[in-house]
Amino acid sequence: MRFHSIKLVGFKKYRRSQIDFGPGLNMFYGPNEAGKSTLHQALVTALYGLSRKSDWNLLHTRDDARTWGHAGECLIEMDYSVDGPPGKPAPQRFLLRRDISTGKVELFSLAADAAAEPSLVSENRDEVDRIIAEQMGIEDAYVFSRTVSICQADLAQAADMKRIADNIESVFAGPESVSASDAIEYLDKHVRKPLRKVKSESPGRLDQLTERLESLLKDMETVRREEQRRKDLAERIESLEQRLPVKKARLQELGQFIEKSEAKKRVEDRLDADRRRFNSLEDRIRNIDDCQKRLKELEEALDDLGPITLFDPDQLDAARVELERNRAELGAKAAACADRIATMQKRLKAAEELSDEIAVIEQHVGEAGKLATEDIDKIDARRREVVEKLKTAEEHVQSQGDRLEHVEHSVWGLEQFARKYPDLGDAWQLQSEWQRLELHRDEQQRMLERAKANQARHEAKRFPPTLGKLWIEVPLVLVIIVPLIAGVISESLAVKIVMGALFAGMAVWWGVWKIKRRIRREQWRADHRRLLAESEDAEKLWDEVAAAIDEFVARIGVPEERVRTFIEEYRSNQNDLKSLRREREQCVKDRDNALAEKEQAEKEGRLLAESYGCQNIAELRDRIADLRDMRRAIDKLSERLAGVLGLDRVLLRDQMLVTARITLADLGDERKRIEKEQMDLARQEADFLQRTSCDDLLQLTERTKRLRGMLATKDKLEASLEAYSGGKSLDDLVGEQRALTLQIKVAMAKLEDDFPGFEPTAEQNEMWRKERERLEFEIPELTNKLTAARTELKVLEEHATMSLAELEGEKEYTESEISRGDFLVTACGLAGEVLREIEQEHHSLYLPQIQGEASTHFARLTDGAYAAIDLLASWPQKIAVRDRDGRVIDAEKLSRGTIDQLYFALRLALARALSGRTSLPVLLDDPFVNFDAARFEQAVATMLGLVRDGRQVIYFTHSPQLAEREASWKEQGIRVSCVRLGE
Amino acid sequence: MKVRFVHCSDLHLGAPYSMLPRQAADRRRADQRETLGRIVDLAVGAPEKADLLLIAGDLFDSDHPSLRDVTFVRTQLERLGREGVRVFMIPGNHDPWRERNFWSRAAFPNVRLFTQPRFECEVLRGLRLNVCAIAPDPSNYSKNQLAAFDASVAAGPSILLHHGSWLNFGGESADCHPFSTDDIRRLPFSYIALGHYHASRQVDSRSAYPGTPDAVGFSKNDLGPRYVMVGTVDGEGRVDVHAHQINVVSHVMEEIDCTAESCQSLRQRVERLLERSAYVRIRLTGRPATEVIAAAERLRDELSDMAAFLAVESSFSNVADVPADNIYLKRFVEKVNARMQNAPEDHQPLLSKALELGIRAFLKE
Repeated sequence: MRFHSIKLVGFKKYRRSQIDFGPGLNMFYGPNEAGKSTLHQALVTALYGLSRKSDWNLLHTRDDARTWGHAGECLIEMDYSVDGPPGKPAPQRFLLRRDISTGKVELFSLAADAAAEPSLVSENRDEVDRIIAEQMGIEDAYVFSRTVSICQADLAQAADMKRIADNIESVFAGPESVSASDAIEYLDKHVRKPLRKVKSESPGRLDQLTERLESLLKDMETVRREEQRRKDLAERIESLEQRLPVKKARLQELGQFIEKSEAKKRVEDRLDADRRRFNSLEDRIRNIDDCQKRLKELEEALDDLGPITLFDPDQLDAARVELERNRAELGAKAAACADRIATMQKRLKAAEELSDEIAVIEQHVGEAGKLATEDIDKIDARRREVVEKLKTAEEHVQSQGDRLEHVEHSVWGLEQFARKYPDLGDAWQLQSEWQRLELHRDEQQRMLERAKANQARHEAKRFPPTLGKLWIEVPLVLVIIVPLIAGVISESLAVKIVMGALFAGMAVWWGVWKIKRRIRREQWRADHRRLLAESEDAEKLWDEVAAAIDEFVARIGVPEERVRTFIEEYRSNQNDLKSLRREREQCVKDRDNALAEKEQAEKEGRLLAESYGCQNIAELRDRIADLRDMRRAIDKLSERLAGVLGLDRVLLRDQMLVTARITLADLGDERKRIEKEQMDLARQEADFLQRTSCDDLLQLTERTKRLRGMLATKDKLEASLEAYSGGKSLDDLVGEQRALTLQIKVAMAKLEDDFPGFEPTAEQNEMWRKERERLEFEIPELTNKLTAARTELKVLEEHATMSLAELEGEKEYTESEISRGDFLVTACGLAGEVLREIEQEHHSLYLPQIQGEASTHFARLTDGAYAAIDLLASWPQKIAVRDRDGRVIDAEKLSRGTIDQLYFALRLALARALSGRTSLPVLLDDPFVNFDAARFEQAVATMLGLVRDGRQVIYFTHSPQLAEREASWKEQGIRVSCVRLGE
Repeated sequence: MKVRFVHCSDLHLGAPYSMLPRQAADRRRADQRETLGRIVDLAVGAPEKADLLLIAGDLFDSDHPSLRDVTFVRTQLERLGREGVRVFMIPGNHDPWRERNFWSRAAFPNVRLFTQPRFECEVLRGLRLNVCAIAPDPSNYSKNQLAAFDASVAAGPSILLHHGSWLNFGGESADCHPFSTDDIRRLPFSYIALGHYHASRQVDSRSAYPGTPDAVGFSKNDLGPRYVMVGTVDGEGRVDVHAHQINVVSHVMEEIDCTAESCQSLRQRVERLLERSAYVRIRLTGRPATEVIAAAERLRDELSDMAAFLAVESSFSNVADVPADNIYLKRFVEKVNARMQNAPEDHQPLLSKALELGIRAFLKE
């Protein structure tokens, strides 16, 4: 690329100038403020326009560019050429015109023939910028000013290697100096790290979210379990609530069964005892019969034996001994008897005391006591009956009341209906009026029809027409005139007279007929007129009625049909209402009856109560209960009395006392018998002493032996009899047996009545008992379970603060946040991947190129003292150089001047690397001003090397020193032009 | 006599609000309860107290609502009971009635809950009105329940509650007892209180969806103002109904094409949205300038304090300008673009996000 010329109009101090550039070195020299830097700026501005970036060497605004105090045109026009594409070496020439005051940009293509008109390539700013960027290989003024345009300040600023490296890097990384690695670092620090931690970093948002998600899942599991638990508990409570009452009912039923079974058993036991007693009584009676029979036989045998009167001293002694013994026996018997009597008397006394106690209670109970024993059940039944009646009556009253209410409700509804049409009352009246009118109208209609019919009939019965009259009258006249003519023409007088009379008669009859006919006609005419009038009247009346109906309809203001419907409905409702009212009356009557019934029942109850001296039924009931209590007390005392008297069953109190007294009397009798026996014995003793003189001892002995044997047998039998009878007569025993039989029969019948069909087996009883035990244990346990379940459910429901839905919402939110975060992390990784690729590309493409180019320049600049620059080893931290012996030296350790040389070499290399194949002009704004003489010469040599390589160099300097060498350079064949500015 | 009613549906108490963070979701659930409170205020409020409150399904968001919501509903029903407002309600497809689920446990007072999936009626003698309803059938949501209508159940002034999908609603799936406009026309009811869809819409002059009274998400039907229906039925069965705005909070969702936006104008647009609502969801698209791409994240950070919830999602197709002064950035954009051109469709969002992140990293935003 080569600049040919630049034309400046109103640009800073150049009001209108054209500066031409030759190939090779173009040197512009002059003092300060001569316009060197302005020209430099003009070149950059021509290529890239005003810059957005802040850089000291770039112009930002129009006013920066404009000639000071001059508001007119500001224009730069640059003529340049670029090398043609490969294979087409002819350079292409362009004219770039940038009007800064209007912002207009035009790019023309110049033909090789200078006379030809330039052709417009583009006047679109973006398009022109793109073309320039493409031609230059450098897109931006900033990059341009960092590469091919080198200022004095650039080198001055590059004080150390770090800054140099930064400057070089900033060409790639822009003015903000953000490199690919910076971007990677930024992404890692600001995007990845806050999201997801690596190794020991603090947890990022995603890590926290993942943790939260885990805890949420746990919470959800808990809530789900709680929900399930709640459901289970609700089901359990329901099932328990159903099962418990069933079990309780069964328990009650079992209780009743068992109680009934026990009661039955008690009754059966008593019955068995009675049966056993009956059997023993039967045995005793049979034995007594037997004993009595044998005793009778023995007594007969004794009678046969006769009296014994034998005496024997031994026998006497023996008899005496016997007597003594008997006496002693009797004495003992008497003593025992006396003891028993005393005991009996004591018992009797106790019994009498108890009896008194009972008597006191009975007295206390008094008449009521009697009542209690006799009438309680009856009264109770009566009382129950009365109460039942009362209840029925009350229910009846209630139901009638309900019915009445229902009817009232219906009546009210119908009345409401009637009230809904308030004008219906009038309508009702109107309706009857209307009906009346309609009836009247119908009547009038009928009359009218009748009148018309009459008239029609009348008209049909018109008088015979005139023609008919002549037809009748002419023959009649002829008939009359014929006798006259016959009389006139007849010669006989008789005929004349007869004929004359006939004629006269006929004439009279005709006259009469004629008159009558006239009268009838008059009458018909009158009738006709009347009928006509009547018909007219009827018609008029009918019209009137119809008008009245129309007026009526108009008056009530509703369509006729509607009124009719209303009225029919109303009428039917009225009928309903009537029937409902009748029903209501009936209901009221029924209710009153029921109330009367109730009162009657209450009265009966009161009467019943009063008859027993009570205020009311309740009091009577209490009284009955009291009496029952008393009766029970009496029964208890009676039982005790029976116990005291040693009776095995309870009888009536008096009976018991009588029995005790009888026993006492019996004992008295026995004592008397014993005393009598004692007296008999004394008499026997006396007899025995008298009869000691008896001889026949042997006989006596023998007989006595037999007698004694028989007596012994008799005694034995009597003792047996005594034992069997037990102090009772046979009749008593038989009576007792009969009573027992009856008692057993009654008890069996009662058993059948009380427990019909109730025959539980022992196993069944046992089963019931076991089931009851099980239920008694089970029911409290179930009740406890129910209470526990209810409590737990309540606690669970009260403590359930978060619902599953809420947790699910948060879980979804967390999951979506995590997925969004993951997406970001992935995107971040992808961006990092691309950035690392770019970084790699930078290292492998640009740096080696820069290193090679810079090494050449550096070697030339240092006159071969340093052979090469090593950038790749540790860019951008460190730059190393190699001296001519191949030693590696840290660039930091180089002298300031060498560093400047190094930087200059790097800048030149950078321009080359970026512009690619295009060989760009190099703009040098007095960069070597601080170089020492030797270095300056080497730098100039390098510059001239560039010119020799075919590059255009534009060199601005304040010193005219180099301009003086122009001639010598030209001699060396170097293309050079020197222009002095500021003249 | 005119019977005044308030009709609402789809309150979705206890909705998960899964697009909101926990605190915001809790706040919104509390808002829902407040909304129910406002509906009750409207029903019992002066000057014209309503005779009936009709709830056409989905009062709760699920069939296991929280105790807090159940207790709140009970309190409100008691309040309505005290004020003499009768409540008629059907379950919805979100909170269906089942044996032994929360409906039977909760035992709400002062409400006639229709639970059977067939026409049931209750005659209000005092108001001379017949209220009928048909509850959804969880075992068969595809059945058209209105087609099985038995004309004998309704006579005179009457109201029907139904939870189902109107086939002509538009843009919505008919997933719950679908019915057609003809089905509605055929019914002899004076008013048909519908529920299911979240947007407020009248099917005809005597049937309407009030929509959800408080938004539960950012779908199309949940955006904008929310309503309940307020109306009267007279003795002849003539109905007069209008929508009454009930919401305090609304949800806003907008897609912004950033191609022509600058940072400043984008910020102003978002601020205007935030003035409309505290719950805003924005999607940035288009081919904006690098500075806009880099600023999107900052925008969310800076404006999130102005809203209870602000979500800014970005999905840019490309970048409008490539800065020339950073060669790395230029290369980066070039390379990502090259990948985008070759990548399958499902990779585009990821590459777009990588582009955004890279630009942010270079601009240090």
